Amino acid sequence: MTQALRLVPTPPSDAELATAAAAGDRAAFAELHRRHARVVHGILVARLPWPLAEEAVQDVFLIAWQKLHSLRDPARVAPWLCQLARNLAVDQLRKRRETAPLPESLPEPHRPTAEAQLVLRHLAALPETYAETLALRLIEGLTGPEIAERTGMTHGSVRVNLTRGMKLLRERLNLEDQ
Amino acid sequence: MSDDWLWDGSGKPDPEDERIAGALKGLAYEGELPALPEQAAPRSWWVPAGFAAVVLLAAAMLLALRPPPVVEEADPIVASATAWGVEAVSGAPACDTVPMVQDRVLDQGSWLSTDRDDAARVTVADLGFLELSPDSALRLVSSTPEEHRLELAKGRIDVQVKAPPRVLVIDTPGGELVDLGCAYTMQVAENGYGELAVTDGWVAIEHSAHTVLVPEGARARTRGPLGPGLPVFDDAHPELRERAMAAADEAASDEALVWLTVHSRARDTLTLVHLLERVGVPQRQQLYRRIVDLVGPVSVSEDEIVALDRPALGKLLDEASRTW
Repeated sequence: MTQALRLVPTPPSDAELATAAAAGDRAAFAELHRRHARVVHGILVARLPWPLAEEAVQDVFLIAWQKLHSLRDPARVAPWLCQLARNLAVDQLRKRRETAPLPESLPEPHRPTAEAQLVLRHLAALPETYAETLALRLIEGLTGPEIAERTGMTHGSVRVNLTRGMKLLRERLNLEDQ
Repeated sequence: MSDDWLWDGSGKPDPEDERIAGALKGLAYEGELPALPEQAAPRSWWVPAGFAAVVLLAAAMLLALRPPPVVEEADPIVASATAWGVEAVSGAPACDTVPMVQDRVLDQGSWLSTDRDDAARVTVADLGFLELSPDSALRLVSSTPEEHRLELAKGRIDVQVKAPPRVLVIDTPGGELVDLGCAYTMQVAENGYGELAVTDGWVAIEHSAHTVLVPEGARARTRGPLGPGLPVFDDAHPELRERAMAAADEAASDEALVWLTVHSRARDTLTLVHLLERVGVPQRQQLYRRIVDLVGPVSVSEDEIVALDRPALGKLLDEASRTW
C-alpha cells in the first residue's frame, strides 16, 4: 500500500507552483495558466466586451508573470489572479475601450452567435458579483463548489450569486424578448 | 430543481436556464499561454509597493493607538523666508481683515480670508503649498517642526504637500484632516458640513465619533458634530455612493446593508471596512465574510473584527487595499 502510494505523484499545489514561477520556472507558470485561465476569463467576460476579454486574459498572465514575486503568500495565488483580472478590467473600462468594435480578424469559431452576444450583453450589465459568478458557471463550465474554491468566495455567496443572478438575467432577457 | 443544476449540474435544469446556458456553449476560454518575456528584477517595484503597505499599516495603527493630545503652547514660527508666505492669486485676500497689497507671511493665529473674487496661495512651511479658493477662511493655528496646524472654517483648499504622516493637520468643523503625505481638496460649507477628495496618498479624518482613512481616488463627507461619513471611491456605482452615505448614519437598515454587500467590488471594501464599526455584531459578521469573498483570505479572524479590535481593523484595511 505504501509503495502504491509512492507511485502516485501528488500534483504540486498552487503555492508550490507560484513559488517556483516567481523564481522563473516557466513550466510551473504554464501549469498555473492551465488551472486558472478559465476563471480569469470568466471574470473578464463579466466586465468587458467579448473580444477585449479574450485579449485581456493574456495581459493578466503577462502581468502576473512579472509581478509574482510581490505575492507575499503564494497560497493566495488564485484569488490574486482573480483580483488582477478585476483590476485590469477596471483599467480597460477607464480607457473607454469598451466601445471598440469586434475585430474583423477574430476567427469565426470564436465569434459569439447573435444570441450569445445578447446574453453576454445582459450578463455584463448585471451587478458585478452576479455577472462574475454566472460567467464562471455558464461560460467556463465550473460548478458552484469549483467557483468557491477558485475565487475564495464562500459556498453560500456563490449559491446566492447564481440563484439571484440567474433570476435577474432571465427577467432582463424576457424584457428584451417582449 | 433548477437550483441544483445551477449549483453543480445535477438535477433537471429549468428549460429557460438551459436555453441561456446553451447560447453560451462553446465560449469557454481555450487560449494558450502567451510567450513569456524575461521576468523583471523584483526589487525595482517591490520596494515602493511594500513601503506603501507599511506606511498604511503604520498609519492605521497610529490612528488606532494615538494617545490623547497634549495641549502645549507652540513655539513661535522660526521660518525661512518662504515659510507660510502668502501671495494673491486673484483679487485682494485679507490677512486678519486687512486686504493684502503685497506678498506677506501668515503669522501664527492670523486668519487668511477671501471674498468671491479672491484666491490665495500659501507656502506650507517647507512641505509644499495650498491654494485658498474664493469665499474661504483659513487660520494658521501653530507651526512647529513636529506639527503644522491650520483651521479651515469655511470654503475650499487644495493642498499639495510631501510630508511624513501627521506633520500637517487641518482642523475643520467636521474633524481633523491628518495628512499622510499627499494631495487633496477639502470644502467646508457655511453649515460646517464638507467633503474631502484625495488625489494622491492618504488623508485621515479624525473625529471623536469616528476616524476614517481616505485614499487616492476616494472621498468622504464631513458632517459637523456627527463626524465623517464613509469613504467611497470616485469610480464606485452612484447608488453605492448614495447608500454608503445613508449607512454612515448608523441606522443602516438590513436591506441597505445587503444591497451594499451584494453590489460591492473589491475596491469598495474601503467602504465596507469603515462600515464595520457602525453596525451591530451580526452585520459585522456579514461584512467580514463579504470582504473576504472580495479580497481573498486575510490574516485577521472574524472574531477579532467582530470585536472591533483596532490593530486587526487596520490590518484588514491594509490587506484589502492591496487589491484595489
